[in-house]
Amino acid sequence: MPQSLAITGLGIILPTATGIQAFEEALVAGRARFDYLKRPGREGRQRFIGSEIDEMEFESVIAGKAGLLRTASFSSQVAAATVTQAWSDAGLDSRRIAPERVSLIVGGSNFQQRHQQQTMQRYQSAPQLVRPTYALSFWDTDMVGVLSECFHVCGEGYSVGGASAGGAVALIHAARQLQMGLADVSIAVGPLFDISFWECQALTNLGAMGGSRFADQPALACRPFDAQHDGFIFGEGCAAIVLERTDHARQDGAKAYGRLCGWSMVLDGLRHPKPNAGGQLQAMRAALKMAEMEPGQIDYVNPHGTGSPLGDSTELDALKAAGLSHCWINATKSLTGHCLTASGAIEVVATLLQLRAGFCHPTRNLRQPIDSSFRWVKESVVEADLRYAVSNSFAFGGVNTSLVLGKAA
Amino acid sequence: MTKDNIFEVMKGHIRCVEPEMEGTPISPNDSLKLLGLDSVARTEVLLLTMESLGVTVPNTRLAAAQNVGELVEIFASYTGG
Repeated sequence: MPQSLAITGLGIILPTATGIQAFEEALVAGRARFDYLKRPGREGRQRFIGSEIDEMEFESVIAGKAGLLRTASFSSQVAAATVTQAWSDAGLDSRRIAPERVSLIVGGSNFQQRHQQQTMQRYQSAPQLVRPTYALSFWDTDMVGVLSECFHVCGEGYSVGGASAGGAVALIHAARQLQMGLADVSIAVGPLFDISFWECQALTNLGAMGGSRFADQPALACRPFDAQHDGFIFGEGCAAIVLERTDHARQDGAKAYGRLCGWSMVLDGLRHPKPNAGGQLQAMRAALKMAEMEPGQIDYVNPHGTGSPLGDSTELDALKAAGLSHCWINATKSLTGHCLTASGAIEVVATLLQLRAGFCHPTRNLRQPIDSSFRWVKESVVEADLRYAVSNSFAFGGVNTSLVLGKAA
Repeated sequence: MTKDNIFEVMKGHIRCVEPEMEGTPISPNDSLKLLGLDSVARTEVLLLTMESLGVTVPNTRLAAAQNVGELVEIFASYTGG
């Protein structure tokens, strides 16, 4: 078992919940909120279905930083509000941790596409007037800069790629920061992917984004693992995870939501977006090996489970081959949609809350699973004694990640 | 557009770019720099004002202004106000 790593703080913002307590309640209730996408820059020739957060007043989220947040992108504003929760949850203000011993990893890249689209649209006829702060905000790293100023973080900080697995890749890097002794506290952020019409259309044309079968009934469109799935449905969301070495957390009396026991990242060696059961299997095996665990010890799987017909069936093949088909299995994306760069982190939060409280949240619209041999949590919540879970996130580019999470000791 | 209108537009952008200025009176004799706006904030205010007024004023002309009042004069000469 590698050096034990504890999750000591969490933050989340979703359409159905702001804050961890609200999110846990929303998970138990199987709450979701799908509609047609309305945010400016998402309207196109056709209506796209997705899940958008409420308008929030972000400027007063952090005292004295209204000016800073006003010139930051929507994704960065949401991240600041999310990290505020996690920071306070981990008690980082009262614990005396040197700023240079805190690091910050933002998962995924290109998460500000609509910010770019809106800027180009606004200044199309007068490009000479484009705001100088766009030169700051177009970089993904601007989120790192904004967060590092808001929370006075002076250790290492960077954004990592990983596309739809970005949140998980961020957590893996946060773990490495601790393992390498570069930080005592490492914060992983799964940023809100601010999608524009262009990506919605391209992903639809690729056949990846669904919503055509239930084009007139948005609430039914997102249905991972169900026989009538037709692709992923987009969701807005952001999650932040505070990670520390267990002994460091203990010496300050910080509570732990759970443990990160193992992780892996494996490339398929294939650029084509087709999911690869071999790579997914390899990732799960490597994460279990790192955790020094057997598949039989895992109680629950939180799959990538997007609602893509090929993706869903490929992942089930890989889970079977990995010896994990005995586990309780649901699909968090059936409630949140696919939050792309944030999903990996959101699903870690969902997994930890379920492990802690001993339940598995419902999977919306799972009426007819594509493979009934799995232990599905369908549309009702299930109480379960859970100790260990596997959380998967996969991405275009042949990226496969798998995390092993454990209930707090 | 009158000079008073231009002044109001510019004040709105100053308060937007620098939220701490909310509630602080701004007079034509004030300089953006002494009001506490850094170089990025000053450029933002000027470009946002150009966008609102629908004019483009070269930096070289604006650089000569000593205070908000002189900036308003320069903008007025471009809007025909």
